[in-house]
Amino acid sequence: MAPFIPSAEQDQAIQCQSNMVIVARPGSGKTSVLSCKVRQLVSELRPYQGIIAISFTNKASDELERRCKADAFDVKSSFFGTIDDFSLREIVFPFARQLMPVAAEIKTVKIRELPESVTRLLPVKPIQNVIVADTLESLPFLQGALAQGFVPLEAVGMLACYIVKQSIACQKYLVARYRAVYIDEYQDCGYFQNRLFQQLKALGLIAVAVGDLDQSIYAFAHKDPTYLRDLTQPGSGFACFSITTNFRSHPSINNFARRLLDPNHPIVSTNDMRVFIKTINGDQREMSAWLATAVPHLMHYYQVASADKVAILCRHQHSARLIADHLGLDHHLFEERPFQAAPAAEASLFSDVLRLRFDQQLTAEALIERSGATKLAANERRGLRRALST
Amino acid sequence: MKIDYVKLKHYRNFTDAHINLANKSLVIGSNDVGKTNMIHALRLLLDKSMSEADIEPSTRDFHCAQDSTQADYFFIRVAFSEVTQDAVLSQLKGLVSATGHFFLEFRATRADHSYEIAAGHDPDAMEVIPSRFYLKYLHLKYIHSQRDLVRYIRSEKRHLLRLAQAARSQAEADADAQQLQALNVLLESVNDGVKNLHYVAEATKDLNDELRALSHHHAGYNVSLDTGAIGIQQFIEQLELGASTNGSRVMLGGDGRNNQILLALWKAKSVLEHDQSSEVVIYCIEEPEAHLHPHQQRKLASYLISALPGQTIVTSHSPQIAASYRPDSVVRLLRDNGASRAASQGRSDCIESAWTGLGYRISILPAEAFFASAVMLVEGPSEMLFYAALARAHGFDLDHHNISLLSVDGVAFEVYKRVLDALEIPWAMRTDNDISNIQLGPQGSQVVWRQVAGINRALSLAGMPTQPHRRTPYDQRATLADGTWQAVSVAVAPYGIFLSQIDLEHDIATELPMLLNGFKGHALAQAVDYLQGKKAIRMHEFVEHCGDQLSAPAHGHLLKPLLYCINATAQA
Repeated sequence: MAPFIPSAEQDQAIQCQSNMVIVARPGSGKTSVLSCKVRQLVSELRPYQGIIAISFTNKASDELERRCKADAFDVKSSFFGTIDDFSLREIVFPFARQLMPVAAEIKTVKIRELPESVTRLLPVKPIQNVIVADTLESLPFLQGALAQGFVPLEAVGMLACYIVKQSIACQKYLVARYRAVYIDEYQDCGYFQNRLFQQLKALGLIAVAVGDLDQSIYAFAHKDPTYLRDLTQPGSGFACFSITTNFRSHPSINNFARRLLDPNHPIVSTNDMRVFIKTINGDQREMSAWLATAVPHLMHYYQVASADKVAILCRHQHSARLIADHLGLDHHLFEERPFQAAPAAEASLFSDVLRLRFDQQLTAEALIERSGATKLAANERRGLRRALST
Repeated sequence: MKIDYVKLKHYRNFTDAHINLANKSLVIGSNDVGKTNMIHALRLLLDKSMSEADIEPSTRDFHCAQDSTQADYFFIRVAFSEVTQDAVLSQLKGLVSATGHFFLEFRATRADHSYEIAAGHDPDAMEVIPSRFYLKYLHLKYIHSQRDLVRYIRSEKRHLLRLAQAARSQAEADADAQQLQALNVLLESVNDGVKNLHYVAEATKDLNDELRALSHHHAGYNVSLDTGAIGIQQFIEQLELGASTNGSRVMLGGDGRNNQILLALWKAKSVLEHDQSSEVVIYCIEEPEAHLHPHQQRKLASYLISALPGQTIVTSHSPQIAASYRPDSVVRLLRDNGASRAASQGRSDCIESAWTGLGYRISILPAEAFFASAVMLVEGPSEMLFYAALARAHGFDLDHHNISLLSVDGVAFEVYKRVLDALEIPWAMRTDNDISNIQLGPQGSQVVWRQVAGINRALSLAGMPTQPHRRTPYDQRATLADGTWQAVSVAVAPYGIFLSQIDLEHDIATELPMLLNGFKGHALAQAVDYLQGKKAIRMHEFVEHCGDQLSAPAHGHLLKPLLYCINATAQA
């Protein structure tokens, strides 16, 4: 990997040792900045200590993990994964049983998969709208679920916050092991996830949040950039840094993106325009026809070597399908994955196993870690790894 | 972090034993009572040097009852408290309670010799764990001073060298690297020089000729004798631990010194390796006193107690070593109905400041009492001499019975009683029937009363109400005349408490008049005075005077405390 030399803007963010929020534009190198900070801090830690580096999707956390561990860097006892992974593996599974009776075997399930004996304990307020003040009312439901061996996925956030607050053993553990918590894509943060972040900060961990206010796309899942925005306000307890230079995209594209969000945004002058608007009379079929000639022509003009560097993005799934059907050129159509309707735990397991089968670069180890089957003895792990590889 | 207690169920000598441990614990007990077994139980769970094969249960590990039935399972629990070290907390996660408690269990089944290890924050919430993963940050270091020093040194020296290498500063490491290069060159020349000695080269000449005759394959091949060290690294590894006295090299040492070297080496290495901020180590030493002179034993004990960081558990047969410990840190293992257990469940708060106030008076004799099967407490040296002789005369072999005679020498009987009761060591005592004046009443019009001190001492030791003061005149004979002595004696005798009628010398006059009359030409009354004039010396003379005539009446009062002790040891 080429050595990363930070710009002045990036370096400022790297050097700051206190609680901070980094507002980062696309292509600004935020993951590089984050992994730099992580590596600097981890190098000073003892082998049994680490940092928490989490995000909201596996994709984002995997990338951060990859960068931090590059060149066989010793991350010691650090945690990488999604915030839900962290809540389950570091808080709920180890410490729930110190606060309330928990069945010997527990697993995560969606609320709709729970038996009636548990769902009838649900509070009146829908679980998505619950805030911390409602925890008390939700306790019978949580306790009922845990006693029967279920961890309701939608309530993981609330449960984790509750346990961190009530369990001194949990607090002592988190402080003993972790020195800092870094959360990426903070614009996708939910209510309880933000609370957990604040709780960790209150315990004394250095708290760093990174996000882009303009990239919040999960509103339908009750994610809100408001928590990120709150952190950037003066008096929030967080030092605010912006890294804005887009190193990845061409200035003309950058200009276009920024003007989309802010009509008065200053633009960088450039002679090479790479953004065009084409209006077509007709529907997707006419679009396909035009694309069939335009794409090879543009590839030739811009000297794009192979077709797999060309993407056609559509707003809706059916548009994409229609265009693909009529395109005529060799293409790959990305559709909704077939496991969306299946139960959560099994779906992600199947999905992961399939990815493992087809992606040469993945190893079984990450999958085993993510499935939480870390308590296996050495020979059982070997067996599992072998089974996964065949 | 420390071990609070160990619970052993059906493990080797133990049926059901709960053993509390202190931060600096001493474990004592007669041979074969199970001290090593208790330590072994700790090692199953905590000793890194024990492999998976070593911890597998064998048939002998399951307790055999007196009726020859054998247990089907055994169970060991170790309870920890004060778990605050970050290194341990970060590893154990939810297994540590909010109050810093942590439990480990080893459960074995005889049917298939299978076992499982469990851990948890509470004995009711234990989870089975796949391996002893906690050993990385929490473990026990064990040493038995009977180990072969030579073998131990051989395996440890490389380790010591490596540790020392790592501890060098960069400047020192660089200087060493340079020096090593120079030494390498030197070594090569030494090697060459040695090989070229005529008789060294000749020794292998014939061998080489034969080889060449055997096969052309050996044409360019030469066998020769050399120092065996191909490089300086091997040369260093072959260094032997030697000793020098006043500059001249000598043999390593006798057994005693070897023991000290062994323990010093072990301690140095342990402490060097023990990164106190990253791991918790509990130190366990068996019988460190081996072959050592008494002063050295005491020194060794205090060295181990103060120089080892963390909890230490020491087993010993040495009173010198026992004397270095607070009585409330002593764990005495004893046999009870065919199984072993700890007296008072291990360490106990049996004493308060009463003992620390006495601290300066503690000598070797009281410590011997810890190792006895029964203790006879007497007032002073006269009683010691007399009773030792009396026991011999009656053929009571006190050592054979593990009985100790202990002179309290002015220290309150109460203190010894409390310690001995805590250690569950049966005791008997013989105290004087002393009566003294006491002045009571308002200032200016005080009245003299007679305090029955001896009688009241006996009564309170038996846990009974004391007697009021008597009006003057009142003396020992009065207690005998009015039946007080008789009543009190009968009441306290079952507790092992025996009251003189007057005091030792008078009692001897009463029970052994034939022997005392005419002693040094004195009539009975003067003989008593004579004896009391210079207590110990003159009692010694008397005992010599009696010779093999010394004998007390079988049902007399003098023999009672001795008989009580012997009976107590026979019962155990």
